[in-house]
Amino acid sequence: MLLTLIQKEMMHHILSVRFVALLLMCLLLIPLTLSINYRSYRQDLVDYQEAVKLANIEETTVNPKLPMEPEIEVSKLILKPTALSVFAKGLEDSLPSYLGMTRNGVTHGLPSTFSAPLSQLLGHLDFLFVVSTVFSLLALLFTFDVVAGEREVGTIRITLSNAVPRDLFLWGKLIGGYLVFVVPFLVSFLFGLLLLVWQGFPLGELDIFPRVLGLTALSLLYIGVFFAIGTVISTYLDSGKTALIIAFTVWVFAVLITPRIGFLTAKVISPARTAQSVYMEKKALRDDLKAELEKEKMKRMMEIPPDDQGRIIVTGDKLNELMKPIAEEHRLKFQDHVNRLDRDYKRETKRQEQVGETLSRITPTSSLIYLATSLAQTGKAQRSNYLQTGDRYYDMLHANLFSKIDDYATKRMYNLATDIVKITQPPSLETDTLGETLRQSVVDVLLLCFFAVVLTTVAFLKFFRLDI
Amino acid sequence: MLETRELTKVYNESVLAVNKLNMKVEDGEIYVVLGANGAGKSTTISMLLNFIEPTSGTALVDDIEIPKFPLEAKKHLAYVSENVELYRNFTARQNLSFFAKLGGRKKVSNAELDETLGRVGLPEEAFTRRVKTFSKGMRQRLGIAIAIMKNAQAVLLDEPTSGLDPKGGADFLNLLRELKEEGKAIFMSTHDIFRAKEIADRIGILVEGNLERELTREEILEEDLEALYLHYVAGYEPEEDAAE
Repeated sequence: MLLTLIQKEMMHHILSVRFVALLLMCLLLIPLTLSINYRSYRQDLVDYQEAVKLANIEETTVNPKLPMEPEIEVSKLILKPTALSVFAKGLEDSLPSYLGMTRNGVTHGLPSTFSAPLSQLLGHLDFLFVVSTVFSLLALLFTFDVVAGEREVGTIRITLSNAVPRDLFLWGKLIGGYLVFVVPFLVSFLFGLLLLVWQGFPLGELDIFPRVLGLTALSLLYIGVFFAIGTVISTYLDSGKTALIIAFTVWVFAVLITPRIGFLTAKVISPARTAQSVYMEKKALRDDLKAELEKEKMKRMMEIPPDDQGRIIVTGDKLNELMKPIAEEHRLKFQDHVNRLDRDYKRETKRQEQVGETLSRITPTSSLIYLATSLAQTGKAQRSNYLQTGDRYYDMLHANLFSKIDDYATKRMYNLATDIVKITQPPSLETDTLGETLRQSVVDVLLLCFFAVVLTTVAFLKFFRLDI
Repeated sequence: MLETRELTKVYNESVLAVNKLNMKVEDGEIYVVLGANGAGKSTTISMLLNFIEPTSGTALVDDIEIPKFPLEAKKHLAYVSENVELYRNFTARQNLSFFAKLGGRKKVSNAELDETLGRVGLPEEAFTRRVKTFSKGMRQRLGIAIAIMKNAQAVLLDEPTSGLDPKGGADFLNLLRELKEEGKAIFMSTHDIFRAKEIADRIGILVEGNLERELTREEILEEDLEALYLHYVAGYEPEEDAAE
């Protein structure tokens, strides 16, 4: 019986216009976006290699005994593009292209979006966008009339006048519709992957293949959630047209509005300073402390007692010795202030982001985006790794170089041959393993499963009680 | 045999749709229920098919209590609706095959499908045509074909002749006669007094959920059914109308 219902439903969809629309979307969008994004990735990779060559960090040496402006970037941690960004560009384009290491702290290079702002204005087209936006809409178009449409034309009465249990009827519709939907999707995706491999994409790599499989499973789960949403709408309404309007409205809110509202609300609930303002605060602090130190220095000099002949003679070495404790005190004071600023800034931004993230999870689209970008290594975890690596690199440079620079030396003595310090190499950017990614994304996986199960249950419960 | 016992339906605890309906349709009998819109005809059929739960009372088909054993009961029931829409992108043969399988047939050959489609008067060229190109009459014929294919003991028809042209209507009644001769219990709701008079063995007049009058075949032939119907449904008094 179930098989008969599934076969009928599949046939019903295959003979409809929406199946043609689905086929077109699948065959055009999926291989095309994958192919285009792979080309873009290859270009990004070339740009990255050029940037590394230009930075020439391996050869750079510095003499810490020489004065150095605090704004000078002595080294850079350059962001390497991720191969999986082909599927989900995520945050990659909006991350700083490099993290510059200055004595004031870490500066951020311009993100790659800076070079193509207009294209960003119109949004990015990648596999994740196609699934989250286009296929969610198509899933609703496949399901908005599963019950409402049959009630409208009366076929449900003829079907259920037979010994067909209601749950089997609905399962038949859901499974049949879902199969017709996902088969072209999977075939197109497979075709897209073959195209990528042909272009040179390293699909077989151990860190890539399981993630691509994960993305596929995730897409199927997300489509399943929208099938459940469409079915719920359909069971509550008895007119196909009304169901379509409601389904479209739900789609607009679930996919386009709510994910954005989450972060807008977070900005109001939990405001935070910008990175630039924090940097400017640090700069102002350094200038203030420097002026204060100069004043202190003059005061100490005035306090030096004159010799027998009433002259004040101070050698450079003595002055350095005299000023060392004051300079150290100021340096510690500065460091303390900077640390506090950084801590506050990080706490504020983290809290704001957590609030936004939590609020946005009210819709399955946000969970899909968080999960997919985590799997594609272009999400929050990757950004966090990048910035943490930058901080770690800064600490290394601080220990080896910045802490040795003396701004207040009156007399500078150095030996070019022995004082020169070779700049520490940027550490390699760490990436999470698949296990770690899944552990971090467990909330989103559970949320998507929750949406799918709860909405399907609601649809069934309503359908069981429905007067036909 | 089809039977209702004190069958009652109250919507939203306030609207009485069917009130303690007692009626029986024997095998080989055509029972026609007449009534205005909202009289409770469709609600009765919906309860007989377990599409809605009765508030009280029960209905039976071949001694199987429908509300208690709906799936078992439905094996003995076939249904033809007012507007047989079916799956518009399927051909007549595909529709019939699908519903035959739902009706419990494991395998149905094309020859058997074609024979049934031919029996209800569909032209051969229509067998493989999509139903969306069918006229209402053709769709009603297909609906009857589905009921025939199921070979159920009781056939429920919800205003099946509305919108049919005279020839279509006459053909439809002939099909019902054939089913009757096969011993089926036929329960039909309609507004169409003339076709009811022509085909019914018994007629029940339903007014606001109450079965106001039941007529036997003899009474149907003897009485002025139209006047009787108007009397019950619209409150017209035939004598007064005549006097005026």
